[in-house]
Order: sequence, then structure tokens, then C-alpha cells
Amino acid sequence: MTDDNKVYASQFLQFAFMSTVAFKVLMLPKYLAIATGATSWLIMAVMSVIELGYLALLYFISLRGGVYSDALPTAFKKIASVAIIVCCSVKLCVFGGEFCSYVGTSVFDGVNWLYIALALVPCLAYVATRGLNSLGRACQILFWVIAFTVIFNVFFARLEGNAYNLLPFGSLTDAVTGVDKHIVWFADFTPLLLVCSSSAKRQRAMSIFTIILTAVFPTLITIFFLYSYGDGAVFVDNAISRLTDFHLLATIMGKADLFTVVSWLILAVVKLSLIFYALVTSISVLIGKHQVTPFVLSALIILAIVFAMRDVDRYYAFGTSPIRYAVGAIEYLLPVVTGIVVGRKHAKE
Amino acid sequence: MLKNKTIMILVLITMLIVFDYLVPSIDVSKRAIVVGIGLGEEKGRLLLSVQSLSRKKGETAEYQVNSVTCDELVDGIETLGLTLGGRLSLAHTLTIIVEDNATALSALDYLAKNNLVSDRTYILATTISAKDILSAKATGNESTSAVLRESQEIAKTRAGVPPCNVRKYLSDSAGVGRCVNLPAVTVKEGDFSITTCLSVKDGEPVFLMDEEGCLGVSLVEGRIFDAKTYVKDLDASVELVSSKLSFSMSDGAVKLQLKLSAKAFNSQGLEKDEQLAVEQHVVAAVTHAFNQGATHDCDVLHICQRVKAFYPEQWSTLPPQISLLPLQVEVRFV
Repeated sequence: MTDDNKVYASQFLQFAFMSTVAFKVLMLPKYLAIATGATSWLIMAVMSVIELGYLALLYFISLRGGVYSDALPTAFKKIASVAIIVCCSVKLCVFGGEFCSYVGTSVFDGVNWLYIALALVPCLAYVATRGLNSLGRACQILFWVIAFTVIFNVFFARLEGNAYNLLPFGSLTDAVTGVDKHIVWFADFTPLLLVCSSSAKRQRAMSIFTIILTAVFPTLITIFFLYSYGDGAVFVDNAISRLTDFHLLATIMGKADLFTVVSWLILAVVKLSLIFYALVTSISVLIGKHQVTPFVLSALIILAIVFAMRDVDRYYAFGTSPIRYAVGAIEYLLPVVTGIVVGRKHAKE
Repeated sequence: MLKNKTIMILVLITMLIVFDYLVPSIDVSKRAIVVGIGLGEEKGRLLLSVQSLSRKKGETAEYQVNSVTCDELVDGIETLGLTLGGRLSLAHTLTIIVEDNATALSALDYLAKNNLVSDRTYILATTISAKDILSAKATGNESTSAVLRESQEIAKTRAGVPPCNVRKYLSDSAGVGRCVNLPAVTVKEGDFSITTCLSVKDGEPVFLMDEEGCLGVSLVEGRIFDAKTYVKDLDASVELVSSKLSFSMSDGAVKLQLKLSAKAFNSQGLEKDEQLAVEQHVVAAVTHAFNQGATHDCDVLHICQRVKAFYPEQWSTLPPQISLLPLQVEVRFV
């Protein structure tokens, strides 16, 4: 195992924020609104709390070298790598499709997915070859662009809507069905299992700000989205982009959504890069490190996104197909198992 | 000394701000930028009219209106795109004018639900031809669509007519009562007038709400902003500054309590007897709006949506018709 996965604690938190938030604030609010109506913001809040607990576990693992630490048994690492490969392959296809759909509709007007995938995937492959420490350094800068966008939008937000759109809550069965169907969008842990982090002794205020943002951001977006659109949310794509359409400066500047577009693209590229890195590294654990792996994978992913995913309906159908149970099980069980293995190993030492 | 990282962050933020200004300055001379859409009916078919920007570099903006009769909205958009020498760009649409018939309202529904226009686009109804409204000559260099957008804001202030944009249309049309109130525009000698609303339910025009009803809806929705209203008992106009609704239910009756801020037209506060007259005026407006809608079984105040949200246990016990729901309106001055 090389040491290209070593990052500072602040960088780990930024990974956690970007990884957790990216694909929860775009299409997921609409999907949840269709499945569960006004309950969706409560579901998002509960799931965010659960994810925060998991992030604490992931931090514990990252402090001890991550899932591919030299100290862990080879057999365990091989089993974990197979699980991560399955999970990351599915996520890369689903989220890659969602990324292309957003760029093809909201950033450009009807651009062919092939061009978007051709621009995106080499970028992911480059990050995978450079390692997480390079991505971590980039995130230290990019995070401020996102933080500025959040503050800019909060400060100039012009909310239109009704509080009654946030109620009533549906049944528990509906809520469970909603989570079950969209489990691929919720669990975002496996790439972070690979991170090897230092302890958070510096930048405590910054770390707390990032943790709070990670916990509340997806819930706040879902609340504002439902508050604005109510039952009409089922017709509204790209939640975060649509919300920033209503902006105090929009009446002066014509539009003020470029910050949001750029920030979401950053979030998405970082998230997809983390997944791609996890995929390449996990393949290396199984078959050994080869320079050609990222390139072969890139070609396969471009083909998958452009020909198999192709449109919103296809990637959604794939993400909500029975394969989601495998992804959900891996995402929620693997960190726990890894935590136990790592904990026992260190207890012995 | 600034650190390299800080400098990079500042450069990135500056670039974002600069690009936000630069993006709209792309040459638009070769694009069919639509600023207004008219949806009407002609011989049972959809009459689609678009007001588009026709500008050559360096010249002042000019607007042209083109129309086409079609069976489906998408066909009309394609045909007009070919006529105008390019693809129609609907994202910049300021105003949609829709006639009071099912064909036009169905096209509006398609536009809104398929994300073809911005959520900030205003929607206006009309009982006359949407094409005529769009073709009316606006004063100055502004497009009719831009003037109508401003007229809607003025109508909110002067007459208390609640505006409606695509976001509100989506929210209300999918809500419990499925009732949307669209401000109605008429044109007289080149001047636009917006004093009434067209209530739409399930994509069908239901009734034209009068000025008093519109004021009632605005008060309940909290969309009053310095609206001037003539109070008959005072024989004077007062300014309704703002209103906030508190909704409650007891014994199956709905209680609407409005926290109202109002002042006399000369910007002075209201005396006790004046407050009483304004209170009666406001109660009458809200009750009138409710009754006018209830006559057509149209929940114009979105009361059922509020009951379902805040009193779900009483939701199933509501009477089958909105007209049978007991309503109590109270006003409290703040």
C-alpha cells in the first residue's frame, strides 16, 4: 500500500462533507418527494444524523490507516476490496449519469452525454493516479468556494413558499420505503474507508463548521425545496439549482446561480473522484498495481454512462433496481466490520 | 503577506463574480430569445404566440410577435423556432399570458411541469386574446412582457392582486385543492390593467374573482405590501402595509386570524374607530374571497391544504364541499 491516501484531519472532514452532500441536494429531494411527500425532509434529517455517526466511525478507521492498512489481514483486505468494487461501480454509473444529466440540461442546453463523460472521466482518472493527498490539497482551496456560495445564498436568499408544505408526515412504512428505494443516494462511506487521516489537533473551529455543514446542509436544502414547491416538488429537477433561481440579486443581475452551479460541479467531481480512486485502489489490491488500470476503467465507465445509462430514467431505474440492496448492505456493514477488525487489531497491540 | 492559498481563493471568487457578469453578454443576435409567451385558442387548436428579441449588434432592442396554430405545444415551439431562424430559447421568458380556456391552460401546465421556462416567470390570465395582449405596443424600449411583469408588481401594491409565477403555479396546482389564482390582465387604450384573478382548478377555468376577492386572497397569503384600498365606511383609502395569518381549527370550524399592519393614506396611524372600519373591510374581503370560491367549489384560500398539514386528524372529517366549512375571520392590528 502506498501512502498517497494520507491526509490531514481537516481534509478528511472536507472529503466527508463533499462526499455526503453532493448527490443529496440535486435529484434526491425530488425522488423523495415523489416517494414520501412532506416526510422527505424528516427522512433526510434522520439519515443525516445516522451518516454523521458513521463518519465518526470512518474517522476512527482513518486514524488507524484505513481499510487497506498494512496492519490488517490480507484476506480481509481482499474481501473488502471486492465489496468496494461492487459498490463503487454501481455508484459511479448512477452518479455519473446524474452528473451528465445535470450538465446536459442545466449548464448547457442539450449537450450530448458523450462529450460530458469525455471531459469528466479523464479528470477522475487523473485524480486516481495522483492520490487522495493531492485531492485533499485541492479540496482545501475548493472548500472555500463552496463555503462562500453557501454564505452568499443564505445572505441573499429570497424564499417564497408556505410552511404548510412541510406537513403532514406520512406513515413510517412510507418513510422506510422511501429510504429503501433510494439507499444508493444515502450511504456514502466506502471511499472514505480508504483514507488515512492525521488527528484533528489543529483548526478545531474549522472542523466543527464542516461537521455542522455536513449534518444540516442536505436537510436544509430539502426543507427549502418543499417549502417552495410543496406537492409540486415532484415536477422539479435539480433542487439546489432551482432554489437559487429565487435570489435577491437575481432581480439586479438577471441571474445569480453561477456560484451554485460551480460549487455543485466541484462537489460532484470530488465525490466522483473519491469513488474512482476507491475503485482503482481496490482493483489494485486484488490484481496488483498496474498503470493501465485507470485508463481501462475510464473507457469502461464512459461506455457505461453513455450507452447503458443514457438518460435520467435509465440511471434512476438502475439505482433503484435490486442491486441497491447489495450497495446498501456493503455501505452500512463494511465500515462496522472494518471498525471491529481495526479496533481488535489495535487493542491487541 | 497573504498566503498563496488565500490568494488563490480570492482569485477564484473574483473570477466567479466576473463570469457572472460576462455570461449574459454573449452575442444574442443569432438566437431566438423569447421574453413573452401567449397561449390561446383558435378553432379548437392551440394558438401559440411568442414575443422574441430581435436585435443586431449596436442597435436598440426590438421585439417581434410571431404566432402559430398547432395541436401540441412542442410542435408549435419547433415551428416557431424554424420561422425565427433558430432554436427558441424559453429560459428567459418574463411573462406567460394564458387565455381562459382548457386548451391554453393545458399548454401552460405542460410548460410549467416540463421545466421549459424559469420558475420566476410570471403567469397572467386574460379573458381576451393572449396574442393581442402580447402585441400591444408598450411605452419606451421595454418589451410588453417586461411591462406586464412590472404591472403585476404594481397591481400587488395598488390593488392587492396576488402575483403568480411558475413556482407558485406548480405548488398550488399540485396541492390539495388544486386551485390556482392567476392575475387577470386587460388592455385599454394601450394601458394594462390587472385588478382581478382567474381561478383555475384541474386545468379548467372556474371563475373570475373580483377585486374584493383578490384582496382577500392577498391578505390570507401574506402577499400584501403597501396595498391601497378604499374603505367605504371611512369614505377614504387606507394603506395595508402587511398581513400575517395564524391558522387554527376548533370544533370543526376554521379560524383565520390576521395580524394586520395598516396606516391612513396620509401615513398617520389609525384611530380606534378607523381600525374598526378597516377590520370590517378586511373581514368582508376575506369572507367574500372564500364565499366566491366556495360557490364554485374552489378552495381559493388553500384552507384544505392547511387543515391537512396542521390538523391531519380533522382532515378526514371535513365536509365534502368547501361551502359547508364554517369560517371565522379575525383581525388584530399590530
